[in-house]
Amino acid sequence: MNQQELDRLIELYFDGLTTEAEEHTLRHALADPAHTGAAADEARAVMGVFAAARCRRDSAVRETSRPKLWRAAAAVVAAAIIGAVFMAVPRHTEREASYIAYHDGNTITDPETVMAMAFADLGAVAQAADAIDHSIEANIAAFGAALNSENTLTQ
Amino acid sequence: MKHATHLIFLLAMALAALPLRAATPAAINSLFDGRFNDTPGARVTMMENGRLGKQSVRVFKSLSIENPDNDCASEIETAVKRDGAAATSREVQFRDGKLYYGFYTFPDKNKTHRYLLYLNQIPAGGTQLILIYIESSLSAKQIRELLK
Repeated sequence: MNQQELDRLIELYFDGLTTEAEEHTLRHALADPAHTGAAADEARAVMGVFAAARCRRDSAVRETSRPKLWRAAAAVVAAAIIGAVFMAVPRHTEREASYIAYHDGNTITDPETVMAMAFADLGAVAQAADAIDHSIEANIAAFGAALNSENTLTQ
Repeated sequence: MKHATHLIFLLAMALAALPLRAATPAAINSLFDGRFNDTPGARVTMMENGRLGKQSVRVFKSLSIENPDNDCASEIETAVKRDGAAATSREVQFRDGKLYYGFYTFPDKNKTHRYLLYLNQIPAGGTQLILIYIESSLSAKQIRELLK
């Protein structure tokens, strides 16, 4: 490219009138150190600044997209953990029954035997509860009788 | 910082989804740590998600000791009184200065009712000390029906 053509392109560039192809041609020409002069140097400086800004803007766009990807990945991982928790932990209705008892050095896991032992303990407590209920009723009846006899005396 | 907050919130929701187990009162729970499993004259019975007859129970734990020594009986009675202090309802009877009978109802946990039954036959001339802890959807009235 001769100097005249270069100057023409530089002028068009600064006027904002270059096409993409012309800008590309100009950039290519300015890359050649053979083209010297104040106008070329100014164009190099401006186009170099614009190129660097575009590069930084591009990298900024790339960098801001990384946190988005990271957030998305983290959300997927968290959802997977929540899903695994729901699947792994059995619901109440699905939990298996367990029966175990220890007696005289023996470990008993037969459900029927363990339930029988449980009922034996409940039975002993039941007898005491029943006796207490009767004693409470008897005490109340005794109080009532005492009040009635007092009323009789005071009349 | 904002993203970390979102993650923490998600993980907290995951943890909240975990089924929360009703808790045995602490002092009573310590009696079922295995210390009586091999004690002569003692019987430890434990059920989870089991059945008592036709009734289902989430947790059933009972400790029965034949002719317990004074220290053992005293330790168990102390545990019952300590946890019983937090009961919302209690029906107790003392004989000769010792706790003879107790029926305690504790605050619900995770919509599960919790009960503690205690009987020390020694002051009444008997030989057994019995401690029963139940977690169930059964009402107190239904538990009493089980005792009949």
